[in-house]
Amino acid sequence: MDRSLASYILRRSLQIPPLMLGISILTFLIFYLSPVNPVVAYLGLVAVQKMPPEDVARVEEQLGLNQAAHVRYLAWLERILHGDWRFSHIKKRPVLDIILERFPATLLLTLTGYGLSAALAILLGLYSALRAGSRFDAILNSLNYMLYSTPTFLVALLAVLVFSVWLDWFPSSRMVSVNEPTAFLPNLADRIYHLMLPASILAISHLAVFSSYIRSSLQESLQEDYILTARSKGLDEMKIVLRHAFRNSLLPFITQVGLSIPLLIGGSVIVESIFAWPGIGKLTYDAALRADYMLLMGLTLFSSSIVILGNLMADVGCAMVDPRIKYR
Amino acid sequence: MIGNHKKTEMLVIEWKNCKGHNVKQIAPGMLIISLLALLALLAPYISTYDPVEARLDRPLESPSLEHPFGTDHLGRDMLSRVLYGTRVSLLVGICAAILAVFLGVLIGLLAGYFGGLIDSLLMRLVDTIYSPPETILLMVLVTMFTRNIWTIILAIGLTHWMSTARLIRSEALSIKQRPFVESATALGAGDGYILARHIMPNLLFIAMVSVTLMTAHAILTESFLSFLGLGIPPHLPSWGNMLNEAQRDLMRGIWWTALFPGMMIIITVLSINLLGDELKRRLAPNREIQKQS
Repeated sequence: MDRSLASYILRRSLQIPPLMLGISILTFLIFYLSPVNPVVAYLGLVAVQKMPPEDVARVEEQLGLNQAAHVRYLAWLERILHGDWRFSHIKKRPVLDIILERFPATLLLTLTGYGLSAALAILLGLYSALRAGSRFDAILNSLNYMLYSTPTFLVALLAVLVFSVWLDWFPSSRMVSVNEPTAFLPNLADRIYHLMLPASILAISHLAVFSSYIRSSLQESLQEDYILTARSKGLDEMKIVLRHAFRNSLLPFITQVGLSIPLLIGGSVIVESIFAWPGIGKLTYDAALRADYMLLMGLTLFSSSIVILGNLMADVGCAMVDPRIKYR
Repeated sequence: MIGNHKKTEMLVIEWKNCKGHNVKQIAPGMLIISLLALLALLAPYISTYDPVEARLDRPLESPSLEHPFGTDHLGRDMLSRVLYGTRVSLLVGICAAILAVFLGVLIGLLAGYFGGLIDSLLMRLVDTIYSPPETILLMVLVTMFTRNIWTIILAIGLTHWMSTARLIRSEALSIKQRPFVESATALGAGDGYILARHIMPNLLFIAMVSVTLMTAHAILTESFLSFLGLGIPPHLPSWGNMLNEAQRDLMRGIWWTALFPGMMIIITVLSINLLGDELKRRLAPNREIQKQS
């Protein structure tokens, strides 16, 4: 790795700590300003209702709830940094453990969805950019526009109705079948089978944005002078498109993919909730429905960190592909 | 549903570039939206059934002359519910969009015009609120605070102003350097005067386009939250709420409780996007090209 890239990565990484601090303040402020009773948040409503008032007062004392906001924030931050993210009262386990346990499922779902979406988008975008103005292009654009105005949950409901209820091709919930062996390899096929429908829906929900992004940036690249040069040299059109234009339009696409990470995690909430996929999206939904505030705070912190890391990776990826970025 | 304001704009440009499939008139979008607004206003006259009155003697009736959209599992008339849902969606969408764009313009103007420390602080605020995934932040907000139609509007508004703020900031930065602002400063105009007379009028059209496109997105967001059971309180007829309840019906092959609210969301959002696109073409053309130079 060359020096300039290393220094770019270093400079870019230095932006992260202040941002994380900002997010921790935001998370704390939401909780602090909300009308939620902190004792209920820590112990759960049922537990607090059973407690005598003296005990509630003692817990308040122990948790330092009568201290000033900044003291409470610093104490909270210290605990978070030490990995103590409190207890989830719906799962009866430490928040961080649950999140880390659930995250791989979300990663599997979102990466599959992302990969499918990007691959399809590149194909469709390439084709419609080359056939700009054709009927295929027009239909694809109308479909994209339509898809863009359709909520993901509606697409998911329709897919469940058609593929699970009517055709009975794919399962409509869970990650593995109930009576399958739990070891990884034996039920690989079963896992893929369960993955297909939710991942496709996640892919479709990003397809509109991704494919039109590829199309417009490719069309832009095709207007450049170096394309004219390549054409005048008599290069094969396929080569011009793939080697010259497409490679340059891939760059904004990488940025776009990186910037879409928050949307992807957001999309996983819907898909995971509908398909009972045991990831952090479903976890957020359960936590919200059953008012598990500690879990929600943990999920905000965790998902923000993932987004920040994802954006960093996209930026570094861009810098590796495009040498101009490093010197900015 | 997934996407943000920035992406809407991008798709809009895409749509515009698409030859031979241009929507050249402002009419289609405008017409459908006017029609929807009319339906929302005249809901009590079009359907005489109470949208919230449960009639357990007629649950899940399929569409008929008496109930053109059928009835739901509590025997409530779906046509009434869908019509009253228009009110909820338009109210939430428009109010949240106005709030978001108002905040975005305010913060973008402050950052772009005054620059320096104010600018970097406000932009760090934008970065911070941009970091948590929008959906998760929204779900946390609506869970931690009381949930009614106004807090939903507030929550959507407070989580969607950042893209507008970035856009307005860069516009304000470029307008600030134009000769007419310079001459106004030379003539002794104060910050307030320059902002009100020279900068704001130049941003009005952008703000109008932003409000339109944001309305579409806010309607999608509201329907998403309500669908999860985290949005509009369940007794109010909102399209998202209806779809939440229709989930169980769908598994039993009952389609009318899902189809009509679903169609309404798509029609509404599509027509508002079309209108926003056309407005953008007319009121803020080539803005991206200006920004690049």
